[in-house]
Amino acid sequence: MVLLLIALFILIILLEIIPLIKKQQWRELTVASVLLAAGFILSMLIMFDIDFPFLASLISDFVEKSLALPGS
Amino acid sequence: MALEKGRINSTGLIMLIFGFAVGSSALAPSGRIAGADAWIAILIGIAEALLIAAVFLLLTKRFPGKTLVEISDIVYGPYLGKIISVIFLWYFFHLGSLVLGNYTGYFSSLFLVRTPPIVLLASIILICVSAAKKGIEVITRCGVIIVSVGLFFYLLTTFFLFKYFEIKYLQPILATPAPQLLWAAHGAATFPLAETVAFLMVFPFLNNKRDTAPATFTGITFTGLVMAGLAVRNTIVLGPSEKAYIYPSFHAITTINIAEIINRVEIVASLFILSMGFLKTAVLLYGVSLGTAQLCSLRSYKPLVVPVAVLMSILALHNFPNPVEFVRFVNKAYPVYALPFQLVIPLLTLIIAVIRKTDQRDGNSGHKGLRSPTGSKRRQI
Amino acid sequence: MTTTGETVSQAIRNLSTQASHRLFLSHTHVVVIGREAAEKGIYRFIDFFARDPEPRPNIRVLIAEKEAKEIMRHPSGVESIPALGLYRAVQTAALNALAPDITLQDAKIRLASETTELVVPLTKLYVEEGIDGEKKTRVDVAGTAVFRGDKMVGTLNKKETRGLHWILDKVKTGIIVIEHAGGKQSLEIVKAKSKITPEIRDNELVVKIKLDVNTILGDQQCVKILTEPDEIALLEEKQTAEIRTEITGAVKKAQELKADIFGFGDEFHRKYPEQWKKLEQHWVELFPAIKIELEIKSDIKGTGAIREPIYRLR
Repeated sequence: MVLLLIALFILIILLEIIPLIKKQQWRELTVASVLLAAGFILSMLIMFDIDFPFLASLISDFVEKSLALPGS
Repeated sequence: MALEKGRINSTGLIMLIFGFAVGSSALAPSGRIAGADAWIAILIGIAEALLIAAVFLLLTKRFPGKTLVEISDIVYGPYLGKIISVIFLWYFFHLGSLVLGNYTGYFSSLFLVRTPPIVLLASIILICVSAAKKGIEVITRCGVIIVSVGLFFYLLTTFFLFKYFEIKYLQPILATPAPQLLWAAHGAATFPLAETVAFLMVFPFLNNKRDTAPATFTGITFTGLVMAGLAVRNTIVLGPSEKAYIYPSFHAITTINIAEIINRVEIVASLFILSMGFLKTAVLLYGVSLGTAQLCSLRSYKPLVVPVAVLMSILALHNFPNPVEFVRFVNKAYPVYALPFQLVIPLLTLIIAVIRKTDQRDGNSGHKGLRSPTGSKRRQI
Repeated sequence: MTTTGETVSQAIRNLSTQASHRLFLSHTHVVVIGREAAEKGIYRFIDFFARDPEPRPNIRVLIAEKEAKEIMRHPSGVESIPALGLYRAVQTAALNALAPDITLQDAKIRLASETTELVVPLTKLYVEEGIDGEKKTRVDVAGTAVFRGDKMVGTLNKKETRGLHWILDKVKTGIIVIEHAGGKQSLEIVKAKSKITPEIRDNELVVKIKLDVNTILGDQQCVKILTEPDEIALLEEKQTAEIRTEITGAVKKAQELKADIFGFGDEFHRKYPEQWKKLEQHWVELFPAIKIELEIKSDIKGTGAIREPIYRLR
């Protein structure tokens, strides 16, 4: 699974990042690489079963605590 | 330098707004906490959504040809403007991941039960990536086709359901207590009608800027009416059991069985719903990529599409631990969570813009990359 | 194949020890539940079929008079597959108002309603002698199982079942047999339309039922010419009386069982949403006291292909 994921990211780099280097669009390259690296790190963390809090649950908890609302 | 050269017309915009808004609400219909009065809640919701839309339309009217990111830069200056932009882009990004997760959940819980969700998600996001890379013009053209065929199919399934209609399930009308009804209406306004705030990234590419407001209003009203129609249909087919379902539209459509020949149409119907979800995700993915590109003054947004899509997919799989949390989020938290993005910040921007009289000046932030894509005339309100 | 399990899901998964393939539940046609089990509660069997995405909403639900397993062992009608036969038999019986046609969807709607109680068609085995003189066991669908909540509390016979159908406006066709002129005459129902209006009259709950029935002469056993205006009027009168008996029979039985199978509660809820909050709490006691007012208009609209009997007394 992990290997598959790495393969996927390598594929993305080949298809998306390499052309940027060829075109010498350095600014684009930086932004894209940062985003992709973030994605890679996050997916790796999830792969290795590191628990993140669920985002929507956090927002729900926050809203419920701060406001008393109608609705079921 | 223009990041986007495509231009769309007003019909395209109406269709795109429709596909954008109907897509995910066909899965999880809005206003359901009002029970049989959901359709009334949606009708009230249209009014609220139109008011919200009026705010961001005034904003885009003040800065024709500017995307949200450019507007924030002009109004708030280079630093604060960037923060505001990031907040907005986060919302679009999160919304996109919600839609993606929603569709993945729908298909993996009802149709492809033994397929890993990630496979379903990947197949959806891949098309979205391809569309977002092709630009807004392509997305809009897809929208025109998808929405026209989808609308036809919606009418067809409703027609097939005719013999199952029990109008009495709608009665007694207005039995829902007023606060609950209004909360449901607000829910319908924020999800999905006022989510059209994401079109602040699309409005600049309308070929005739004068059409922006009429097209948006038409789009929102039309969507609202169709959603109200869906709510009525689900209620009169499913009766009191409607409230138990996670995806009532699906269950309404599975009911269709005409002489044991025309049945099991839900898979086709779901494909149309999915293609509208594709429109929504594609618009949001496009918006986030374009916005980020403008934020960092890039020459092209295209290299960002794939990384953004990867991040969006990861979040999509990690939004909810289970459908119960999803219902809790949609019913309770989302109408509050969405409000700053849909109403408060645009309103604030508008007020500050009026105070600072920044509708005439051309990008006082002075960023090279932030020049207007159209670069031409601007009108005064 | 038969299987057992502590829950429906488990039972279905336990089948994998016998079935060579994974079961495809979308092809389920009927769910038959034994009477004894139904008396203890039916929801525990229904939930799985509502929760799992595979079973279709047009599955027919049936109650077997004795053991459900036995029903599935014998063919029904001309179909060789018992389930398919049952699936068709329910619909045909319902067409003639001899048993209610309850799909899974209908069952879910009735179970979700606050006051409307569930009804389910009944099925039982009977023995019949075939052409070759061999005794054959076959399946029959007729009558109604009445539930209170999710527990079966009683049954309606064929006449009461049609009474139920009259009230629910579900009668499509059927035969009304009346005694007249020294013989039995049948009248075939060609059109029936009913309308329920609930009313609250000085602390009394009244349900007005307006019924409009058209029939044609199905067959006659006497040789009298029945197509004279006077005779027709007499027939219509007797026909009305028969329908009245069926309806009051059904209402009486339902009131005895304290099961609002007609949806009167929901009708009151729709018409009197304000008063309903009070009524709802005492509905179980209120329902048996409901008065029925019938307004039946029944016409004989045709006499079939012949006008008068071919054979006459000479």
